[in-house]
Amino acid sequence: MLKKTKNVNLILMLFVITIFQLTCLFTLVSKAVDEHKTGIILTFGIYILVEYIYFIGTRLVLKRKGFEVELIAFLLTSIGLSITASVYPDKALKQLVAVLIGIFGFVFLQWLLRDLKRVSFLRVPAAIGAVGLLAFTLVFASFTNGAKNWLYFGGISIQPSELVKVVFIFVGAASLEKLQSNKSLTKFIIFAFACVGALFLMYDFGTALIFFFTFIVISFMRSGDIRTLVLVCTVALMGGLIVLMFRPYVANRFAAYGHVWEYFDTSGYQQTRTMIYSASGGLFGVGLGNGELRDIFAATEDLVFGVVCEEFGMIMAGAILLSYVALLVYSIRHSKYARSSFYAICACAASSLMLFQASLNVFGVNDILPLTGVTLPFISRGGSSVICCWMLLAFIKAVDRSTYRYGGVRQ
Amino acid sequence: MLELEYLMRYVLCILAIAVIINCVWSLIRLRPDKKVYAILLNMANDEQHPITCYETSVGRSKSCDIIFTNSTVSRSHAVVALRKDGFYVFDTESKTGVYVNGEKIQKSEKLSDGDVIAFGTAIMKFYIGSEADNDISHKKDENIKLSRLVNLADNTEFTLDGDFITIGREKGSNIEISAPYVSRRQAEVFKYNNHWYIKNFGKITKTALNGDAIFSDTPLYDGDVIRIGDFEFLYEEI
Repeated sequence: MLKKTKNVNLILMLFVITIFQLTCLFTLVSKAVDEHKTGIILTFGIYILVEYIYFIGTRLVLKRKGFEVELIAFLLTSIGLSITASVYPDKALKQLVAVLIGIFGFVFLQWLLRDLKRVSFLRVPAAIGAVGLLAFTLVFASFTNGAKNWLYFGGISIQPSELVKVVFIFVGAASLEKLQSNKSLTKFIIFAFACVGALFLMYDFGTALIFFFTFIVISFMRSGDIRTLVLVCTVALMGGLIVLMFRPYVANRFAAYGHVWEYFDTSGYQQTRTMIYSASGGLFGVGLGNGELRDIFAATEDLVFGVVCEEFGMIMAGAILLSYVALLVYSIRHSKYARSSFYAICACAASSLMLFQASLNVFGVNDILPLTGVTLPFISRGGSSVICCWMLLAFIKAVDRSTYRYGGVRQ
Repeated sequence: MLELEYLMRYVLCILAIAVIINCVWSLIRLRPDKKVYAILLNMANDEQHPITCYETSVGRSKSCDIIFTNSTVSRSHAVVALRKDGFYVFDTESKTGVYVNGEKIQKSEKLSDGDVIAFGTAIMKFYIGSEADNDISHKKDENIKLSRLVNLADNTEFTLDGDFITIGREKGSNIEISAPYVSRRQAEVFKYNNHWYIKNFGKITKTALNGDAIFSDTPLYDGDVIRIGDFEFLYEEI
């Protein structure tokens, strides 16, 4: 018989998170110049208010009990907001808007996933839309930091590949009633090839790798066919090697990998500084706003794990990584008992994606893997990234059958 | 001020760790309640398969929730799924098909309490609710029914008793058919765990059940028609 464990005490945890957020706010305000103080207070005030509305609403209206997943997400987002407000106080409100869109997307996607017929209907338009968006990006985007993956509309910039991550999992898992009878991966392989190919052409290799990894997870969960997956991986490996042979400039992007200390002031500049400053933070960090890594380029995005290590300490950095692992364990544990195989595949794919992305980020800045420029889920600054992470969380939430206890699932 | 800032480093760390460790510990340890929604009772050996998931796969593959080693069961044979309006069984492109109360299902079929489901030659009785809700041992006794075969040409009745009856051209067969295209030992109707099955032995003429040729041991259900050449027999439960 399985052991029953009680959910965490929501009121207590919410209280602790609020104290954490207010402590961060106090620290930030005490260090900010006068012109930024209002913006920072407004950012945290709205964020805490939305947080309370979400928890009270879902607890009282939807009668939910388990909030561990959301508590982790709200805490990690708080850390991200604190770092953004500390390094770029003028961009804190902009980041908050992205977070709010992400939370809205999280709630909306939970509602959308409730009706599996609706999901089944939407999978083809979603797939066409995703490929179309990537094609549009490929044609109209301009190169930013070596990759052609940003679109600019007026003063707003978006990274479509982040949003396509959500659609990729949605389409890959949405086989529904055909899941057991239709194990053919052909259509999904074509869709995945189109997405990964487009990302490769954009030189967004980190995201391409994340998509490929997610493709492997979804394919395995859908078919359980190891031979097809080995074949696909072999073809992908050979394709990658051919690209490296005929397009040597691709390999040049990773030239410093494995020996960044030899390129201390050139291509290994970011990683070497990240490692130095991460270590200087010690167990409890140097304090929010007191770090040195914040002055390095992309400190709040690609190198944000280093900033966390330096300013919040190694213990908190370790705990953050543990939370990504816990989300995956949670998804796997609940997948057997999910209301549909669709939810099981979505949750495992979403949590694997987050863990893989976090690994690429953390190992990248420490030179264990090449630095691919991917973000750390929930913490890195960037609207598209944080929106994507919150929407992925809806997939993880859906695997728990108690999520749709109130009203049930429409199949 | 500096002392306060120094203190806050520890406060922030402790608060964040408290939340993360609590939530992570809960996430890792949290498991859904294991509730038995229904039971599949294997009529061959009385083995019970509790259905605890919303979707339970049945097949020969090790990845299935309920595994049968019988060669008539496909690797991924069927899925028993709990939907909002009740249980359904889905045939997942199995070779031998899924039968509910003797009727071959097309894609899916809604299940009711007490339905007999055949996955190949694996015959299961379906009970909604847990073992405690169902007095399965009592219900098993109800399955012992008297059956007969009726020759549709002349309405001659053959009551099925004992463990088996033989059908064929051979003298001494329980049901003797004198036709050159009928094998000496054409078919056998036998009882296995309180259920009647038919097995084909005919080489020239195949024994057919409800129009389909029989290739393996096939369960019989009330109203089934056995055809051997021009001869037809109705299987009836009395």
